[in-house]
Amino acid sequence: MSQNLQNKQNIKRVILLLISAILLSSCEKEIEFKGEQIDPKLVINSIVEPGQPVKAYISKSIFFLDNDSNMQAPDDVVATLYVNGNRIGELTRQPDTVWTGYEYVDMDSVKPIYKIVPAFVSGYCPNEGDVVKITASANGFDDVEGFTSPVPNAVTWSLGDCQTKLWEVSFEEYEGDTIWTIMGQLELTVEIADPNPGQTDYFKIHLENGGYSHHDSGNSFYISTSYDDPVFGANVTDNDYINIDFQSRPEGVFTDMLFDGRSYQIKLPLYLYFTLWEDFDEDFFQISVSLQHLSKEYYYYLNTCEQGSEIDQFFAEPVQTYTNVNGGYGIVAAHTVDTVWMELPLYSSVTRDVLP
Amino acid sequence: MVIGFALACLPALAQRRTISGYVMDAASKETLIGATIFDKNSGKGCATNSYGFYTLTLNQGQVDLQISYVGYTQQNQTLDLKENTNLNFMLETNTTLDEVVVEASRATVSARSPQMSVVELPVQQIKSIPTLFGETDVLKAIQLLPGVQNGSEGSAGMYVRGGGPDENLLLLDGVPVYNVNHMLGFFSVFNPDALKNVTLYKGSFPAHFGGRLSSVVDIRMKEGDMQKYHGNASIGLISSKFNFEGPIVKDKLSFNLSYRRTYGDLLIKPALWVASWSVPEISKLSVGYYFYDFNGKLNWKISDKDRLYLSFYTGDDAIYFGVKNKDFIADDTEYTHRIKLNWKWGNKVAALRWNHVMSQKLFMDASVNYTQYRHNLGMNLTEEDTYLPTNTSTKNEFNMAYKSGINDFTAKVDFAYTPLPNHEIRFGGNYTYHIFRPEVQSMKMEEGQQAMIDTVVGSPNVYAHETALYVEDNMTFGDIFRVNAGVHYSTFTVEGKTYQSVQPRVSTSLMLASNLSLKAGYAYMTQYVHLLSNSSLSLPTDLWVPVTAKIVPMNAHQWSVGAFYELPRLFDISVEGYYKTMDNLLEYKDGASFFGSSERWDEKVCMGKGWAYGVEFLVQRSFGKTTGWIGYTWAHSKRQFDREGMVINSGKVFPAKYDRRHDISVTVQHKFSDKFDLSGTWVFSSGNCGTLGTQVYEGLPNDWGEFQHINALERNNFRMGNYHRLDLGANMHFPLNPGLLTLNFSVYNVYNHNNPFLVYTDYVYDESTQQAEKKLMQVSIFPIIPSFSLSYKF
Repeated sequence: MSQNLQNKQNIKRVILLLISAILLSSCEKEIEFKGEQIDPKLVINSIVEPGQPVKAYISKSIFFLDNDSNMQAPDDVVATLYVNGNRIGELTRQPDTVWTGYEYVDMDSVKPIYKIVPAFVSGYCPNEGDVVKITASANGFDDVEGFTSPVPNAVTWSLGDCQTKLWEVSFEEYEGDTIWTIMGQLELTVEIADPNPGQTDYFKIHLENGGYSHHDSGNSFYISTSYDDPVFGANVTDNDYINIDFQSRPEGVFTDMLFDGRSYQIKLPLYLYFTLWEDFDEDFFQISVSLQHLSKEYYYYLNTCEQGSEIDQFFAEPVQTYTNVNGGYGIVAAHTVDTVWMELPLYSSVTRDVLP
Repeated sequence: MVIGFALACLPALAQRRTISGYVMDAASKETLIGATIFDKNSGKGCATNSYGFYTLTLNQGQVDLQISYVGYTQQNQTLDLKENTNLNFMLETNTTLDEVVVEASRATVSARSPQMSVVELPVQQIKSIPTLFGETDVLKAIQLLPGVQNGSEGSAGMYVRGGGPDENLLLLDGVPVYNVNHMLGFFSVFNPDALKNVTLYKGSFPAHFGGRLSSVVDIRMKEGDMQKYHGNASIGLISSKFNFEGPIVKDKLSFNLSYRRTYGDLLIKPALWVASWSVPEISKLSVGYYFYDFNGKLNWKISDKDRLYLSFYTGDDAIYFGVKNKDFIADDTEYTHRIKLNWKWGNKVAALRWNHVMSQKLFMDASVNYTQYRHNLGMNLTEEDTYLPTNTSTKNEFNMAYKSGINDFTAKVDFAYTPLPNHEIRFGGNYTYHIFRPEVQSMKMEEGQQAMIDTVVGSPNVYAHETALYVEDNMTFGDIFRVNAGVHYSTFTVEGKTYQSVQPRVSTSLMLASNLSLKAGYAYMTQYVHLLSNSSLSLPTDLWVPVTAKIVPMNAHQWSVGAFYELPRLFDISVEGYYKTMDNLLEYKDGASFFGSSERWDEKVCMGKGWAYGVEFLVQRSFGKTTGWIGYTWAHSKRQFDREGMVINSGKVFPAKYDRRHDISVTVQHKFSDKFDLSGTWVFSSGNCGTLGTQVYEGLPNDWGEFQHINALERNNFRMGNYHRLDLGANMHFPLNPGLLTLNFSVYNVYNHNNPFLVYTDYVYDESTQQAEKKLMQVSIFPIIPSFSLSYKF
């Protein structure tokens, strides 16, 4: 009887172990790719701007599981520029541009990436309303081409008053120096007038911090913003850091859907976190604000860049990054850019009034 | 058809009389759909229609009627037929254990019927199939039939013979239901407790159906017991259900009510209360999700010739979220922040139906129907700063509402005329007024007293008129050849443009032996509405939109042939082949759904064509203690979008998303005794297709260095691994006085197979090489899941 009981207990344990093992087994596993491996394609990336020479970056695509990330374009690439259907001439290959960067493997480790992407330039400067086409060809690759919609016109806009709210200021002594920690919030106002009433216009706001070069001084800062003004609609990207090496774009894209035919004030909060040693310069607190009027394809491209990386796309048809390069990949688009530098009012208030 | 009618009339010169009436359940007086009435002397017979009515014209003289319906004791009646006669039959439920446990109605699915590509599923059988979280589900039972594929793991999506998810006409008491899913598609809106009969048509559509390309699922609600009150209540892992029916006036007026609701949101309320109590910053917190279904039906037997039915259904999914930050003070300022979100979507369906026996040979079914799908999202953000020394405050408020939906008002009349036993002519028509609300977004932002934004954007309502007329004749030539031939004519007027379509339909059967037939059919279908969806899940943001001046109606031609063999009291075996071409199908352009709502929806899609072909085998056993079926489908489904300005995949042919080569399903139920029964389902299918980015390339360089993209050159270029799963269920019945208590225990995915749900790429760090390498990863979502439910029937 006791032996039977013991057996039953053993069986029960085994069953429980099995059930536990099954329930705890991972729902994620590595699988083998059994699909077709596609030949590399030529890639053209070019954003033209009225009054500026045309510049295109041409490279090649690689297979997604390749650990060799060499995307350098073949040496015999020929790129040609057309404007409004007229051939302007071949673009000239510049000395190779070498990019060095890191790709995050996980939160704690990064993998170095070295890339060589040559730039091709032309002396031709397009005008507003031009349609620009760029073609590229190379041995062993399909010919590719992409063209812009008409180059957008300039926009009337201005920066309004910048309001300051200080959250917290503290300091500590370190080896005879004073280190200030400042957390603050600003609110930028960008007033924009719809340049083309009755038609859809596409825009991008781009922020940049002028103090980046002062990293070596030991001063550090983080500035972030959030695109929660209604004009950004579904393109809200919360707390995109402006000036650190994240693979996200600190820029908000939007249309004039909400203010067609009139002016509108966009509110942009800036969240600041500074750690300052005593020897900082005034331009540490400068930022630039750019307003870009985009061609339609540039807007599509930026939108799909953003959407394609979102986690909820797991359940959807994957968002393909928009490309208008037939036969290959990339984007050939246009924009106008207007940039304003401004000094954050935080500087004077912090150094002269609030800090001792 | 006219010639056929004339030929079939030739033998009908003798003096004839007509018997007509209803066939009902003797206990509840509920009408029985598809019961057969057969005269053994003449060999003539017929079946009851969707309202339990039959009409049979026979030669004057002695007739020997045999009335039968599966699950019921056969009844015989002899009479001397001298004049037209009205005769109702009451059938008793068959309680003999070894005779019948669960059986399908066979009137329309047997080898004798000309109809092919149709399957009837008894609700009792649907309830016995083990399912995810123990939630019995009509659509998931249908997915187990050959020719029908589900979407992603666990979803109730239906893809019939290579068609899309919006190409299925789901009728609840004859009224279309637009959004048939709850909880992202993991459950359907049809509560089996409220249902009486489910029939799937996947090809050779009779002419009285129209409006969708790929399938019709005709679901009929229970009418309510005319004799006594009874019902059932059940508690499950996800939801609780309640059903109650009975007479309001005995033998005259009855009702049937069913309600189902999930209660996860109610169960987490205490946890939320604890959270808001323990986190000082939060003063109020509410969050939850639920869905519910409420079905009701009134059945008024005015006289032997007139019946009135009122059916209604309402069901919603809802997500709600509310948080209020506790006030805090900084710099003499008090801050309050509130966020409220209410998100609700669902259907409302209502039908008022009048059945009238106009004569012994003419039956009328007239109805006015309403169906609505609505999706409402409302959000409120409030921020209030109060400067305490002066008690002055500034309030900023942002309100956003998003609405979309569709409303249909329909008037419909159908006639069934049976001039001769070898002819049943159906004709009728309907008119539908559609109101589409594609997308309307309103926003209001106030800072202090100043309105910064107050606007409404989106597409205006679209109004459309749809009409349909049809005629079909079910003809019998001798006892060998049967034909159902008809034509469906429809028009659709929208944005000042009228589309029209003449759709011939024919299906035939040739009896080679008393239990063996060959069948063939053809159907041309046209569809005027589309579901815009970019997800493998059913999302509330999916939009129903009409054809436009630019987007023309979809249409499909389907040819099918098959052989049907009945092994008496053993198995029914069928094999069917089909070939279907589809035109003007829609697909989103790459990334188009994310371009923003400033684009018209018809700018975001491409039109193209598709074709599908396959072979389906079905072995079905509907008799005895062991019932179930084995289904196998071999299929192809392809798409091509190569029209100018509407190119996808470089214009090349690509597989449809749910193109699967093999699908196998085995479904078995066995009743050991009155107290215990077991059921099991095993499914196997080839993997789904998906679009996997296989090319990595440089994006635009920017100030932060490089930016990479990964894209696919071809749509649906990757096929996931095979899918297979075993589900088991057991029912234990405990007779009580009064009532019956049933304990159900079921296990989903018994052997815990990691079925593919999605794939993605990731870096996997190799310790030995100290290198991170790119790998393809597969995610599965439903491991082994046990569940139980308890129900009490009284």
